[in-house]
Amino acid sequence: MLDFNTLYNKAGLVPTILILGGVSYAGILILVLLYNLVQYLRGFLRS
Amino acid sequence: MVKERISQSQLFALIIFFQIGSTTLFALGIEAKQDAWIAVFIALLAGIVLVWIFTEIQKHFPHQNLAEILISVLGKWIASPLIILYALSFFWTASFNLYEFSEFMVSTFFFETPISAILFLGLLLMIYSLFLGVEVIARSGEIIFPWFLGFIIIMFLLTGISGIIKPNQLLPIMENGVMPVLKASTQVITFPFGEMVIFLMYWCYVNNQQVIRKTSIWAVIIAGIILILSLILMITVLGAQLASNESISLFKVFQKINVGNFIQRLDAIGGAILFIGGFYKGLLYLYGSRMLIQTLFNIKAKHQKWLITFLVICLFCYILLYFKDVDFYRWVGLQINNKYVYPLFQITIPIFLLVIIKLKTKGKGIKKIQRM
Repeated sequence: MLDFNTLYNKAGLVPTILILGGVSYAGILILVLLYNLVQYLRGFLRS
Repeated sequence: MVKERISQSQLFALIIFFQIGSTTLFALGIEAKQDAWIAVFIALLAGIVLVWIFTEIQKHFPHQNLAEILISVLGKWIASPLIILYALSFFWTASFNLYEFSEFMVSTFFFETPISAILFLGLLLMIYSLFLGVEVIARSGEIIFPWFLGFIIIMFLLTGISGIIKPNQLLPIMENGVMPVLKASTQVITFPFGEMVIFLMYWCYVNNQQVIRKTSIWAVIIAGIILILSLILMITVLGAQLASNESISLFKVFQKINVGNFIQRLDAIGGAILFIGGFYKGLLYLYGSRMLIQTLFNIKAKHQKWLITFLVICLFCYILLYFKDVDFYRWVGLQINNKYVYPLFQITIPIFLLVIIKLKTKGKGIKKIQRM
């Protein structure tokens, strides 16, 4: 498993930004997905 | 409105170049030893599914590129940082491509030449292509494609005629069971098949949107077959052990071609094949990065030259400063890119994006933005 020290010190700044940013965005997209799922279900139940 | 247009055959050529590109430099899935070709075959099947996912995203937004799709689906505030991350990841991958080909040229043909000189010349050609635009890139690809494919077929045939192939090197099949093969195939899914995500920047230029999926999947299948054949050649000529130890295995195979002590020393043609594919791959990544930034910041046509110049200078400096040696490059490529960066940007985020698009289109919540 990759730790932050190896990632930042050995691989550099750009991959660190990409991995941390990518993971954060995957999290944000899960939230957006859940929000849209709730909206869809509300619309579905109302109809 | 999209002014530039590319045809079905041009898209096909670009995908083949892109897929074969730098992948021929590596013995893909060689962790599975002589079963590497099976690992690539399994990855190819998964790659087809990935292409289906990417084209499904494109199908909902036929005239928009990745940046515009992200803005349409997530809104400007959420999408903007993600677009910057995608631009950075494309820029990062372009730097990998350029470095590996400059290093390849230095280690095989130009031993005394500094890598910066090769890099500079490659980047000059890229600047020229970036200024001319996607239509010219695609048309040049269409012209070079028959030569590229012809050279590959000739090299494969000549390797066969040379009598250096030992088919029993492929045996035994799955000696350690199916798990090592599956494990090796997971890395091949992202590189090269997952990299098709870049075509979310190019599919919007295709003049007939109906054929995008069919053309892309066929191109990926043909590229996959070429990759499997090249792997079989590497294993049968060099053996699994030597193929995994050699830095550029396919090139080593081409060097061994000798038909009747007359047709030999074909490594220059082999080098040309590898270089053409690598050049187009790097170019497509750099162009994708440029288009993402241009779309996000709505940069007007007259200012594009500054953006291109800035990007290319950044790329040149970054490659020279970042890459220490080939071992470092391979470590980052295999341990960081293949395991963490690529799965995030090529599989996880596109899958989430597609599910959100499906939910939104069912709720009819997407407002399509006008192309800038």
